[in-house]
Amino acid sequence: MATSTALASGRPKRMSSRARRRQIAGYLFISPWVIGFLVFTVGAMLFSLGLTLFDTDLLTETKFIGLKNFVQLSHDRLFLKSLSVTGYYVLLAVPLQVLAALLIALMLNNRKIALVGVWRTLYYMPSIVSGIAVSMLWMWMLNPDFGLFNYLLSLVGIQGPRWIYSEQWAIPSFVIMGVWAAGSNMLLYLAGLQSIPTPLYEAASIDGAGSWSRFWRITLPMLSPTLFFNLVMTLIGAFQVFTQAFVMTNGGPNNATLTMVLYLYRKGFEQLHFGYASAVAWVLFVIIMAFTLLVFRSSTAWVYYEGELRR
Amino acid sequence: MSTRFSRRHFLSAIALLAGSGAAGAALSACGATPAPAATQAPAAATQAPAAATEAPTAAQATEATAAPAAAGGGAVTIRWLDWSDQDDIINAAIAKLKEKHPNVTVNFEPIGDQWGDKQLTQMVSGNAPDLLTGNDQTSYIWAEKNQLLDLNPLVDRDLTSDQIADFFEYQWNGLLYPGNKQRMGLPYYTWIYQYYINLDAFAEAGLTPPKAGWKLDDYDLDLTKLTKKDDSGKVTRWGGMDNSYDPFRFEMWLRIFGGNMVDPNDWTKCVLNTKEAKDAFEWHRVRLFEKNTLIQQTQVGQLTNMDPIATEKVAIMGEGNGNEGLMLDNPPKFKWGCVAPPIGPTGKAQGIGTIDNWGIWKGTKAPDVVWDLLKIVAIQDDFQLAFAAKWVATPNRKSLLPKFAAAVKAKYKDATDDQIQPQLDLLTSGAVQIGTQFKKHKASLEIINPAMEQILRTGTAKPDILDSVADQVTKLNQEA
Repeated sequence: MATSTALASGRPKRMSSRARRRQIAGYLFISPWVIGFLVFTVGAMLFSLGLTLFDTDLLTETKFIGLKNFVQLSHDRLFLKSLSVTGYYVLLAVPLQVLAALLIALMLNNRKIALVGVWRTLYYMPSIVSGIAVSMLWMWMLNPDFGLFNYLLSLVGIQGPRWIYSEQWAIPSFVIMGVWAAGSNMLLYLAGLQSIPTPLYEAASIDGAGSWSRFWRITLPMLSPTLFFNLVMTLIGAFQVFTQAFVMTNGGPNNATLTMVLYLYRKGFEQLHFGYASAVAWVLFVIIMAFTLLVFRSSTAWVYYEGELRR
Repeated sequence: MSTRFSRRHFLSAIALLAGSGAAGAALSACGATPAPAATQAPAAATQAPAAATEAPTAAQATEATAAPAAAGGGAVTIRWLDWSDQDDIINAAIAKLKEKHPNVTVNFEPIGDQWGDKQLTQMVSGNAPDLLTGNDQTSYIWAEKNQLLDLNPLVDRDLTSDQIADFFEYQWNGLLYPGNKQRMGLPYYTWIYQYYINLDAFAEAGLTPPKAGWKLDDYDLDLTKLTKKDDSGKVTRWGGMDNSYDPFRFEMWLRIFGGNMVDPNDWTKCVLNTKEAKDAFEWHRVRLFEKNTLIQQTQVGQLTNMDPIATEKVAIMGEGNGNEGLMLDNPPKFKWGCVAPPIGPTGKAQGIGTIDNWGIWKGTKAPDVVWDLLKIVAIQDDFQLAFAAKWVATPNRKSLLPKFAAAVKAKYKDATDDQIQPQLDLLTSGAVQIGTQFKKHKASLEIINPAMEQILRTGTAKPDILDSVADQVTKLNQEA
């Protein structure tokens, strides 16, 4: 309030002692988070950045090696494998997860559907189940001999694949799992859909717009900020895929599910090459950052904010 | 450029660089940093350095609190991390220690999930427990990283030759770290691999149940005859399940065929490319994926522990003797017994056992007190028998085996000699060996595991791929 008064008068105004006390109190209230963020996030990141320059197990000798960890990464067969596995997963999982959640949300946005609240709950539930429990459940569903998927496929005369036990199908299996857990994205889409003003649709209908036209010209643009948010978060989450690979396949078969995070976990916590593991983490960070920036840059072309002026 | 730092200087410098040293000290006084768990692993991977950031602070804190106690010669606090819960046995051991050291406080820490990661984090932060449990996965790493107190001088000082001779040789010798021959710990109990057999299934098939000294051909025949199919040709019960398809357990099978994983004379050399080693793989591959008299991993479904034999999905099952408690606690509908692994082309009995142990962290401020506690749990008969009875795992010394058998029979009235005696005979036969280690063991397993998966779990490759695997592993271990 003090700030707006100062701006209105056109000159800085001395803050009252009460306002100053309130300001200090505000900073004190947020300080636990700020300190925690600086130490445990920013501090940890800088520490790991420093580690990339060392050959260290953090227990015995530590040797400064400059950028050698990054050089070694460039011809590490397993790292390159993990890079391709992660890339493949992201390529499949991100569009499918974003689209599946959107489709489910569009379906469940229709209040005429019987028991719509129950359906929404059912679709949301998988996203709140722990990763380990989900992995155990899907190990059963994807079992080639006794699993639900192959049983259903056999009913229509199809012999199902070996899913997580097959080099070709292991990553697609993880993608299916990811699509199944689209509940949290769906919830955000639903919120976005319900915030679209009804008069827009009414006006469009009066103008003769059909359902496809209304979806394409009203729903999608108005939903684009939510779509943008979901895309960024799904992208980041996909690059960090770990639990399924750790619990269900341990990176196999034949490293077909050796994701980057699993690889850096092994390098750090199993082989104690913390400098090298940090280098993997930073490569992953740069990749995620690059893709995120790309999405942010592209958003000016396809994300519409209500009230925004465009030239 | 190659500049060397001490660990303390390195951690301090990095912490300062991060600008988080002071805040870290303030916050570490307010609360503990959570240990990384399995589900948190992605976060842990990025958070790991955070724990390390605190290292100087935590290390200083340990020194600060321990120093006055040591100087005063009075109260001492030690920490004990164990895979047991804090039950009556643990409390009794602590009480026993306090008889000798009345001013000692023992803080017990149950181990929880991902305990290897937890121990590592504690060691990095200079704040590890004084007495800790270890096994084939961890002890070698801690020893290599100079985190374990060498127990050889304490053993020489306090244990008699009779006491030492009472331990099982494979385990006693296995607890010497190959690199510098330091003693990493004292045995916790004994875990060995054996075969559980459905005696009713053998009777139904007109087969004589196997006894120690049975041959590989007998095993093969039993697997074939015990595999049952319905009219459509679908298998309704497999002859057997060999739960040994990981590098540690499969070493037993390599030795049955006269092979090895690591060259016994050179821990940098992988010998999985020998004919003997490949024969062992091929024997299993054929029975898994061609004859299918051994159940495949996917055919097991979601059955865990002893369920495959308990639910009669298989008639023979290879597992650790530590799982015998599960069978005794939940008796299956059929009569069952146990038998040692079969004898293969070498004509020599083989077995595999672990080095599960208690060790002492090198950074302990009270090594003599911790050593006294270790002696109570590992050497005093009543405690050792109590631990063995609790886990239904055989005790760590030969002289205790008769008492262990009596204790099991007292606890389980229906337990038979067929179930208890074979593991005792195997332990005393001298056939049991430990798993061997490469110089760069974990990194070697990164190459070996995918190959084993392809041959024994997915059936997508033949043992020929081991030629390339052995070359890669040897090259890795011989690199500077």
